[in-house]
Amino acid sequence: MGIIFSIISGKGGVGKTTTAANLAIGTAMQGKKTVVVDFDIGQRNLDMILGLENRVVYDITHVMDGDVRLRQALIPFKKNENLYFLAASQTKDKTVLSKEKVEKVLSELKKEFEYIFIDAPAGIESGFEHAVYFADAVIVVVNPEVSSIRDSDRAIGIVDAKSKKSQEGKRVAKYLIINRINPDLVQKGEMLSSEDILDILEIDLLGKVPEDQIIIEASNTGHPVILNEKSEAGRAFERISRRLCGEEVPFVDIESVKHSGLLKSIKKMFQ
Amino acid sequence: MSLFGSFKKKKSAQRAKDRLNVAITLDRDSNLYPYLDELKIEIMQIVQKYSKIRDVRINKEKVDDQDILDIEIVLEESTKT
Repeated sequence: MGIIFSIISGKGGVGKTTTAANLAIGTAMQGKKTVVVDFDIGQRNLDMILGLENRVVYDITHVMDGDVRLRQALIPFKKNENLYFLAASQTKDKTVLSKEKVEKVLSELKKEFEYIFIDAPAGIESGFEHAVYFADAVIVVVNPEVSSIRDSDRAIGIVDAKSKKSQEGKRVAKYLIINRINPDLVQKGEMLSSEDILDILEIDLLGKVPEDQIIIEASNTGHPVILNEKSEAGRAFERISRRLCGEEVPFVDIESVKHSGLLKSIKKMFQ
Repeated sequence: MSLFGSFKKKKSAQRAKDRLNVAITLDRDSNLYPYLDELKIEIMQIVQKYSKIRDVRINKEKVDDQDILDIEIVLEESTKT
């Protein structure tokens, strides 16, 4: 039986879909049979990030409505044979989801795959509840920025109140990924450090991802950063994926600035 | 910290942390009872079977360590006569 990870955030635009894509590729690279599901009905995005937008014929709503079988809607990821993708509908809205339909699809996926990543819609609307209801674990993505952190605390509260496991009196595991860390700003005291954020939100750290220009290029081309060996963000996502596969991977201090160049070290003298 | 350190403006990250701690504490407090609106509607429905009511007010209180929900049912004027 597979494990369901729901990837959530309080507000949109913090890198949730990018995280879902990269972690799914990451666990697939570790040899795990993985599927990543776009649950943002009406706002399909994950297909673009994965570079699979031209492959989508059927989406999750077709499967839920019984129009096609799950197998017909699963799209293989060309760059890794362990990974499959299930698209969100672009035309329907979030009201098409119902608990029963979602449960049916997820239980089928659990039989076929070891790792199931759900890219949840942002915020706390109805689609969000469906995306977290059946989660075994929740991965919260935040940026080191006040509105993202505040909204994520609210989303965590909803997970605690509304998920199936919580309602059964069990604990839903919750992990934090801090995305878009700018080491320069943290060093200057102008950006919240990961330590500060963990203090405020009181949940376990899963990983820290530095801000990385290559992410934009990656989404432009549909070639996620984890596949790029030179990308620091890509390496961060790889470490997180290995942690998800049970490996003990030490946390890298990405918040210290590396002063490699001459210009930087001269600048530092005058700081 | 230097002599002038205490006069220096606080770094913005520290201010963010202070402000977030206050905001999130308040948020969590107001989210303690996520069912309040539903509860209010159900209470109104039940009481309306017996009497006309104007409003149901639910106040959250904390006395020492005890959480208290104070429910006040305001009846319509006409029901008194």
